[in-house]
Amino acid sequence: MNELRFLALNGLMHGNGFPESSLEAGLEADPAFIGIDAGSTDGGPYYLGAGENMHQSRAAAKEVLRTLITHARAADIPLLVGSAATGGGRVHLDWTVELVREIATEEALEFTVGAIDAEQSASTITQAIDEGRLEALDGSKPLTRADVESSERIVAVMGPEPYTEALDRGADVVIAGRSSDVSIFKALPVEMGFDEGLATHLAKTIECGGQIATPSTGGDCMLGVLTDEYFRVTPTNPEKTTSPLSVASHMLYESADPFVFVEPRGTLHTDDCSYQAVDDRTVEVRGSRFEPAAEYTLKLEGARLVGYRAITVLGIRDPVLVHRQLDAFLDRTTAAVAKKAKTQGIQEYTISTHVYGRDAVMGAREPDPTPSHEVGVVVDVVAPTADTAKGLVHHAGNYLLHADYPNRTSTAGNVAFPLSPQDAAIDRAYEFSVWHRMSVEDPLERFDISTEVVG
Amino acid sequence: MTTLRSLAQVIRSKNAGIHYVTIDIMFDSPATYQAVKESGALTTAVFADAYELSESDVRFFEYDPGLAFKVTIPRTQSAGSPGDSDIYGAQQYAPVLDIEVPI
Repeated sequence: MNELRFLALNGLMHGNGFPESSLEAGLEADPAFIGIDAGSTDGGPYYLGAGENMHQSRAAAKEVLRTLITHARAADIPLLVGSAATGGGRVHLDWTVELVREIATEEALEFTVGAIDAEQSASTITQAIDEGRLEALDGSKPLTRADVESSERIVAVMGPEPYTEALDRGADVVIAGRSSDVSIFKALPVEMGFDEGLATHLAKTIECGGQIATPSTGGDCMLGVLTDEYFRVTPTNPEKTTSPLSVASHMLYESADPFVFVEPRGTLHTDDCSYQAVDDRTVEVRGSRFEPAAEYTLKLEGARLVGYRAITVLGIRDPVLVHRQLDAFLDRTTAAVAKKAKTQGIQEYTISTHVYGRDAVMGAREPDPTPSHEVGVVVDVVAPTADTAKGLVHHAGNYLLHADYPNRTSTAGNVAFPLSPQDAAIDRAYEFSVWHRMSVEDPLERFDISTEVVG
Repeated sequence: MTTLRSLAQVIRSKNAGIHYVTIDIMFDSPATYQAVKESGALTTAVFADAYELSESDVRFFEYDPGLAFKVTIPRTQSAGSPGDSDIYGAQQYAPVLDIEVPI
């Protein structure tokens, strides 16, 4: 029977890594390749928009990548890295490839790196709008040219084909821009002719590396074994276990529907699957089904700059304010800020007040909005420039500190600031501007693949 | 009557894409999961009520292989846009904790 083994890890994007011993143990199983996902939209639109990795330490990410590269080269098997540096744009790809170059030189290794660019030009997307090839996802509004033109960066989420193309062009290490997590792990299995249902389900199961093992704390390594009839997953860390429950449960994680999973080439269905324990560390899965799509589609993700953010943080202990007048007082504060903005000619800005100790976390959905004896307030202003954002948030803080209100006793100050200065400029603020999918003729057409000998 | 929090092993929430939050209610005992499932206490309507949403905005799943129930609802705004209070959607499950099950 045909059998393919490979390793899946996690811990690159967050820079926290994984036990090196887990990778070494996995390599003893003679895997065909190593894969790791390095991206996500879960941390919000900033990383895609600003072009930064989520983990702010370049050195930390580099050390994780060094461990992966040195072991993959020593074993002479491909290393596939998907969704470079969180956002998977060109800047993220370049940042990661530069790390690879440095590592190759420092480790005196010579190999070929393949880079897959997933960033899309505005004209590509507007042409797709004109040709009716775009579909809004998850209730997004139909995409307009203005949405495209106002976006800082738009990436297409690649399927498995660009990975195999990069490998065919001689890449030993593939650094991909934005990619479906599944594509990293199903590319080689599908090209080798394995059942696409099992290959896709294994890839989906293993995409987060050690997260399906118990305990799930920290990055770690999983071994995936694919055959024509089933797949198996095993943590390579001898201190970790898996169970049919922990493996099956991964279909719940960050997915809207546990039975149906949509990918560029089609849809995975898991409703007929069986999950069996082989032993207390290995789970076997059968019955996964793949329904090929009529059209090949690429999900698109984009982020737009909405301004600059500044915040202030303060506490309120006065019971009259906390229990009787807080919303009215906050409303007057935002009105005072609106007046200030108007006098300064600031037309577009947002102000949000998050009241911790009452309903900051859930807002209008909070079932118990009874305030505590004290509350914390984060005032968040996004305005056209860093200067106007700081100005407006300072105005809000000063109003809260000194403004009068009925039955006030606190004529020397209404709120407690824990910080001096009382305001903080955060950074650029973004929002997701594109969450759509685009049909394409050719799985490779939107991805530029380049190879380079490094070291 | 027993609350979900005293029956389930895991109750959690997280983004499912940028427009949805999904809530997972997971059990470690097949018997408990089956009892909750057969009680009929968990329905689309119950979760719509807990989040003050219309039933058409709520997707409810019984996921037997994971001994889990899943509820997917719209976010109040897209993840990370100005004013969002929970970028990961990780703390949106509290209304589920005290749902009562007649077992």
